[in-house]
Amino acid sequence: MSVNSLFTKSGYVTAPLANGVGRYIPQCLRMTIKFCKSHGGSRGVREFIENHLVEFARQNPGTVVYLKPRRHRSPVVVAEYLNEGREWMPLHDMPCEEIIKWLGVLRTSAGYGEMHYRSYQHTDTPSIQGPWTPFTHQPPEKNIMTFPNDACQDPPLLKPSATEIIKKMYQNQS
Amino acid sequence: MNNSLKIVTACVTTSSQLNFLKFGLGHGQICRIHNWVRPVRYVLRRRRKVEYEKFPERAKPIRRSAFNDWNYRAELYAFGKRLGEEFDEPLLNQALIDKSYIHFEKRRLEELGLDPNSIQLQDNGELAERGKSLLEQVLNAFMVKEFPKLPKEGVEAVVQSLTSDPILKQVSLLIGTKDIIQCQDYPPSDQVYSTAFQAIVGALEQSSGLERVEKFILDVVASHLCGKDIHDFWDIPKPWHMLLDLTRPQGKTLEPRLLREAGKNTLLSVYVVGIYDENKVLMGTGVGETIDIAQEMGARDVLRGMFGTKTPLAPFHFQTDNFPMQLIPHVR
Repeated sequence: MSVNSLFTKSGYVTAPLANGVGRYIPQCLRMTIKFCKSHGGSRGVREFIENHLVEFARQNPGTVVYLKPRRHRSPVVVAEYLNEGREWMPLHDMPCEEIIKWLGVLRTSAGYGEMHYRSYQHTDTPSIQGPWTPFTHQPPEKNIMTFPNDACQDPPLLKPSATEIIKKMYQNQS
Repeated sequence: MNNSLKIVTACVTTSSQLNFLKFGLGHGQICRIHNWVRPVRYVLRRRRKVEYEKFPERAKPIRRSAFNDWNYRAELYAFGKRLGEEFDEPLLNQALIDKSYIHFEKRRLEELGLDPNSIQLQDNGELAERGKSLLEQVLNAFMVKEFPKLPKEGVEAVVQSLTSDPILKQVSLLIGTKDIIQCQDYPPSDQVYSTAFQAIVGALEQSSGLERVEKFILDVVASHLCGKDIHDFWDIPKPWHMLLDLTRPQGKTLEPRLLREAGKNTLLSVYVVGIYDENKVLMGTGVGETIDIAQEMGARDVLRGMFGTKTPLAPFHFQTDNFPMQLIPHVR
């Protein structure tokens, strides 16, 4: 059994369907807010539903919002995304302002969930100059050289050592 | 690792759930993940696997529309709004009805002892046909506009692969048709996804007109070409022959010449071949592990120059008028 899927997924930054190149398609498909009508833990959720929900739905017509009252259970929001991803988030004892912010996070996510980024940038075409060959960036005078050549025996960019510099300084002095 | 494995095996054999907690693995955690997480998930996953092997029907995902929180009309409304398009609702509904769904419904009615012909549903076949021809026309025009020098067969190959089932399935899924397609199997097959997408294009034409359809196809399907190489879609099997065929009518004589070589007769040999025309002008170079391959690569390089498909390409021109979306949460 592989261990890969047991913990946090890993991957690269991606945008599904080149989102935003042509047009921007909001990725949050639907949200289900589950709450209790009487329990204290759902107080913030009830306040959100009473005061802000209609406006939230009006501002995000691409996201279907479902309400699911259930007796004496902790409030929860489940967001589903276009890429078949699903985010579950508890809203227990959360004040209304915080709920607004968290719903904003869920609404603007892409549904990939928590992910460990293998690197912070990613490109499908890492080299636009083509594959490397031994002749890439070679000095043009090598075209007409005959080999073996003494000038090519030393390592490139060889700098004089500290001893050599001091010796040279001594010679210049005398 | 070994320790936890042993414990998990013991756990599975005795089938007691959290036995390993007694053996001193319970308190530690690494990177804020408790040590019990891995063995528990190991066991759960193994049990799930055994169960699914025994009862394969349980492995199938449950249709989203079977859940309590589901409103089909709301989903249809949101579908149009999400794409920023105005759909005629009955047309969109028809575009999402697959042929298999009608058969399925009729059979169900028969089993219930009702008249199967009482349902008045129309499948998305006609709309899909119209949508397919629209897709091909628009993508063709787009390719001709963006790659004026690309020959006809290249344009056709690109359009064909863009309108193939796997790509249209991906597009269809990522604009959110998975749960609202009405068909017998869930999740739908590639072909059902792609037909539904074509039908949506057809429905959009009848609802909002040709101009909107064109924008929609470019934004959603043609954007698939971004960052891709055209020759991934259209492979040239014999570039040198093609190059000769193309240059012969102009009276050009081509000459491949070896520019550089290294590591001859070794596993890591490299040759660089340049293609020159009769005026000794270098038209293109190619690198390969044999001279023949390098020559073919050189011919490819020349062809890319002739077809205007050299990488990197300048970005395509897509519409961006639908872009201003509120990315900052603001509800008050």
